Amino acid sequence: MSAQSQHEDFAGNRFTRRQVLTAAAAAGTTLAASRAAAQLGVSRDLPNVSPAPYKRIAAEEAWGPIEMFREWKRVLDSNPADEPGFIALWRNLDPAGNTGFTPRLTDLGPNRLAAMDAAGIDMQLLMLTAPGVQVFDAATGTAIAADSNDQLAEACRDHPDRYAGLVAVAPQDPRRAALEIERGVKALGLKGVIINSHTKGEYLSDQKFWEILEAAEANDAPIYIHPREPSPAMVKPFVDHDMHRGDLGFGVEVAFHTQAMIYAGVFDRFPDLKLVIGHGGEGIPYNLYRIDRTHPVRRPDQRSKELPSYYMRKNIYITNSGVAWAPMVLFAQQVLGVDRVLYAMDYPYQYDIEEVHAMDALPISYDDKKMFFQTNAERVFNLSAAATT
Amino acid sequence: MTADRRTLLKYGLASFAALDYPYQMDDFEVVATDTVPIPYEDKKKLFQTNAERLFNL
Repeated sequence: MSAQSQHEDFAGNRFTRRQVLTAAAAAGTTLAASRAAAQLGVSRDLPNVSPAPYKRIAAEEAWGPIEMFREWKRVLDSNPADEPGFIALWRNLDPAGNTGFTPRLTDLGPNRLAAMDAAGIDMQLLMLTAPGVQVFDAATGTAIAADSNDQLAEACRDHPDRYAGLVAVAPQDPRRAALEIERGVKALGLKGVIINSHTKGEYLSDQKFWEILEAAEANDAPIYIHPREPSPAMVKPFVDHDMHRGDLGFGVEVAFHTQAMIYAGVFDRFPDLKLVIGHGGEGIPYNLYRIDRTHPVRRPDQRSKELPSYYMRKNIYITNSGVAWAPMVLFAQQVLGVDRVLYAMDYPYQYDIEEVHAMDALPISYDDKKMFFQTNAERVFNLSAAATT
Repeated sequence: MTADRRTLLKYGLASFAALDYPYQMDDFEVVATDTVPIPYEDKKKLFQTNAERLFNL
């Protein structure tokens, strides 16, 4: 890996190798170096990214209120048997500390804007970071989701040309979640819904959640399914091999969720529902031929009316969050269409200015690049009202 | 000659390539792979010489 390679620990630190070496030389110990590097925030290794003739809208950017992280800590401290993945990923969470991601996740102010400026990001589409409120009981989850939506909407009103946001809901209470979608879109001006994949091992393919889908469709609010660790019944071998992360577990979890929704007939029942998945489509574009090919032999109650590729090109959009890799972007554009692939950075988890340069240099036409960075996101998330500058 | 061998010869496959016979057997897939937009040299590697080298054929 190059000097720009990223080191990350969800609850601990994230830093580049060069930052580690520089800070280690100065501070003398690895631990101090890690802390110092984590607080650097903005990489100084490269010059800032210049404005482009298109807007760079980053469509899968994370935030979270401090109240949620404090509540996460309470859940983690209770060592719940039904959240093995959450415990494995976030066991070292320090909600009030200055280490790890929490300082950058809670910030919706000048530090985040400065990081965006340095990376040439015009706008972030913000969503409550995984697993959000989905590890809480229904009442707690519903309350914290509503409060976080109020905070996020206020930041979007303060910076309408820099931030847009998604509605967080607690699927544990589908009725309240459906009402919160309507409030979030109509009263708060938010642009879609964030679902941090499974809720206590359950997926939106289950009809108990379809009120949520109905509300999303009725409010023209795309649902972004963001990864978390695989659900309890399948997570053990992933954790045993430290594979519950972005290397495989996150993608398996979201690909499973998406395909399960397709197979359950979600998009036959809700034909105008839009779904967005990140990380290059979590492997689905690469597997799409085989997914279609096995469709005819599927059990009838788990078989959508059309082939899965039909819904991938009609209802589902992908972002390249965390995957600033030209072969992936070009392949996804080839198999899904240039109108279905959106740019994303995955701030603050993957804040790497070099990756913005890499995506600016994609070997595609100007028109296609503008769709990728700007107009696809504006269209899918109805950002025109907030994109007036 | 076995049915498998006849089938493979019919489709011009020199090695037991990735058709996944008999689970997945379609005329159009062989045609699709034949027409993959890559140079002749790369196509020969895909269909033939990579397998010959890997499996010592």
